[in-house]
Amino acid sequence: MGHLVELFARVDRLESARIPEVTQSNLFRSVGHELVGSEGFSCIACHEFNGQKSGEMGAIDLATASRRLQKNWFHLYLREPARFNPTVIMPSYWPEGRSGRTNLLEGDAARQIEALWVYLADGDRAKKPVGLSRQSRELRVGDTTELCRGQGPVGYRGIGVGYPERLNLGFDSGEMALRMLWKGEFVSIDAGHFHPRGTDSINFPPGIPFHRLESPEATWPRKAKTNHLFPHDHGYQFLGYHLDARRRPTFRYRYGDILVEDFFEDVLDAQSKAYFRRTLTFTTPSGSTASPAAQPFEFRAAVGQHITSSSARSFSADSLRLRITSDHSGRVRSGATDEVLIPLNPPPGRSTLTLEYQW
Amino acid sequence: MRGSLAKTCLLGAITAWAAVSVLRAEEDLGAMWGTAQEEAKYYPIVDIPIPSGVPLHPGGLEVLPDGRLAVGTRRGDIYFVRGAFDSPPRPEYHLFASGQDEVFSLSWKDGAMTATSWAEVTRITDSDADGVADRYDTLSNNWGYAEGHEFAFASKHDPEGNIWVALGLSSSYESHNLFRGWAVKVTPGGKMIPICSGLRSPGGVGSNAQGVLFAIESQGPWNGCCSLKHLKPGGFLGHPASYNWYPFAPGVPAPALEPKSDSRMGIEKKRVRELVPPVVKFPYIKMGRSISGFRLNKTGGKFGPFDNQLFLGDYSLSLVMRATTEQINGVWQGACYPFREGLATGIMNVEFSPKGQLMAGGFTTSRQWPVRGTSPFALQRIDWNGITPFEIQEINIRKDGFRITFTEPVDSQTAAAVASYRIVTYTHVYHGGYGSPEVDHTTPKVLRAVPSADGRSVNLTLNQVMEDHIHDFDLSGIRSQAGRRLVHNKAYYTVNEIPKN
Repeated sequence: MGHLVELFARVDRLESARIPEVTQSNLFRSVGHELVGSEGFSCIACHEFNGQKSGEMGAIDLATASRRLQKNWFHLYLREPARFNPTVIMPSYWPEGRSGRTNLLEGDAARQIEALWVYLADGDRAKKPVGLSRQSRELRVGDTTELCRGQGPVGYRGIGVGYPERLNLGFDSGEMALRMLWKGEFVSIDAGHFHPRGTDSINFPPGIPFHRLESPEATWPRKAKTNHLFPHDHGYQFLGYHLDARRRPTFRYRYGDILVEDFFEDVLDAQSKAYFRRTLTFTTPSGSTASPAAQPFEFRAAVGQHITSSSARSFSADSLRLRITSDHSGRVRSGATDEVLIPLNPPPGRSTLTLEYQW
Repeated sequence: MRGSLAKTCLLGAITAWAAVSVLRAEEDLGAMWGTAQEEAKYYPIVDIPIPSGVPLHPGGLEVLPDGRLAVGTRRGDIYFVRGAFDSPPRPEYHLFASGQDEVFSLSWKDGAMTATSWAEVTRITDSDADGVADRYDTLSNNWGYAEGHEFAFASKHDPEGNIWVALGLSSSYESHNLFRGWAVKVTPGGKMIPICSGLRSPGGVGSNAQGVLFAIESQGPWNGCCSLKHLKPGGFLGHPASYNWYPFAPGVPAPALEPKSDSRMGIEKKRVRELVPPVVKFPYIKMGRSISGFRLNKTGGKFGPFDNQLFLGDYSLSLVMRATTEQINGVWQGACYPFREGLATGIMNVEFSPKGQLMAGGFTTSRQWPVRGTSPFALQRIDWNGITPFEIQEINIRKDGFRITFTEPVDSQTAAAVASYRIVTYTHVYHGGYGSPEVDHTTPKVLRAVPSADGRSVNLTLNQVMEDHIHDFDLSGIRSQAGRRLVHNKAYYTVNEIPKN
């Protein structure tokens, strides 16, 4: 069908709109964002945006605009929608070429329309317009990290985090454990429940992150139905999370008297493929002997059906590739399931463990 | 043609079915007081508009120091609303926090919002002053939460800065997870201190005018009706399923005995020393089916003649009631009074505004749990228009009867006539079964009714005051000096103790 586009283009006679040069793409993007929202032209009063309906009209999703439309046509259409479809209800926001918003880009119609194009070119990665309805049970990520909490596949105390590069994770605040990774669409939510959507999910079993095994074959601890003080009796206390300027959470918890700050960021590799970089920062007091963390322990970084290592820092756990990028090494403990365990003995003061999760 | 006829028949059938369903729901929910029209003459209800893009199923409510209303929702959002208290309301909604579990309780203190949901108490702050929260610090998540019915509701900060949390059981009959059925206190430093056992499915937690902490309790096993219970440290509040957690509460000695089923509160409270009888019982259906949240009226007269009383919202019946409490022989007890019906939805919480208005908000869930107010969600405001209704203001117990105080002087003739006062008493079976009929009815005789000189109160002398009974008052015979009838004729006093003098 694609060939039809070229054939139509040959016979179609459409003038070229005046398309201005974009010298400051961030400014244009921000103006476009303002125009689409409820404090601008309120396009979202009729149009859907990234799957979210704000008004009753259900007009076509603007996040798809740059995929579907040619820029020249976009410019001509917006100046006079009725020209292309006499029955269309959409008004022109630049009657006789004059904008109602004279404070943005000097009120220049061509520049404002180009600003809309630049903003919409981000597609579903675009910053959510102001006034966009939040009613949908599909929680989608725009350009900012989103969170949800409640019951789901990550337990009763789950926290779901969706990152702009379309990576998502599920963290259990009850055991302070990473439980799930997935890609693509984030979650659907409903009153204290969330359900991961998307694809390529990796699940980790329940279990605390840090532990000193009593013996080489000992089971890694997880909450059993009747261990009512778990994991507080193993020295854990969940402290919550802080959001950075991009609203990415740093999970905070105690293991004994070590403060752990656990931060995930979505990173692009050289091939623009997204992966997670995880930084665990330990703040360890000096001279403590009583705490469970006073002696060396291990961090369980991954669990899988079959784990192999190509080095002390590089592991394949089923579909997950795990790399240690700080000065630590890991070992594989084989059993009914395999585990990657990283011995730790954080020195007094601050120290970090960094990992990369790719899948 | 045939198709559209079939469609009309189908639509007709669906409408008929829906009408029957609505009727059945009305039947199931019980008769209304029938007082909404009269109530509206003193306490109009105002709807607070909610923009279509704002998902607002209110759970927790709070008033901020800057006069905005905070609403915590089922979706895990906290909105700050400016203009909800204006007349007419002109609300602007600002999203302060999001991404949480269902927020049923809110309390603002020292620049932070403390929110409580099923799993934890969270202290939420905006550390970079951009108007949006960026720190979600878990104050405590140390109680068990692993089943879908394990609610948690919390108080405002007490004078020491503690948050009191009432934890619902795992199911009507059992407690599977740590401290389910208990009330705990969470200190500003995040320590969780167990307080008392014996709750079943508690709702809102709050204090009375004396600063004593109470929680709403639901009808069910060991609970003949909804009630207000005293969160007495070391107490056992009635449902024995949570006895199993005493080994985890070293500061709270376990009762030596368990209550016997098929008994009476009056008997068991003498056997089980820790047993704390409900403070105010709300006769089932007549006075609520699922009371949810309550708040103390400290408006200083801006909400009418009911200062220092408790106002309670009911979820199923979409109404608001009042309650008063007093301590007799060291035991808390009191009375409840109908106040306002006809709210739009299931009420989850109530909160007084700085202008002395009562906010009431909530939602309905599935059709399986019928709610009288049919809006899926609503935020409303009950205003006092300045006209004092003729009402029973308060009932207090005396050695040989009761003193009834009215909001306006009573007509001396009707007030002095014993026939104006119809009193019956009853109690419930105290047992492991679900709910209870009203039992052991008595009809005390009013021997004397003596109005006070100013006509504002009447001392009733009875031939007998029944300990452990609800005293059900019907005062339809009473008139004010101006000839008015009472807006509400009924009130219900729970007698746990009788004054000795």
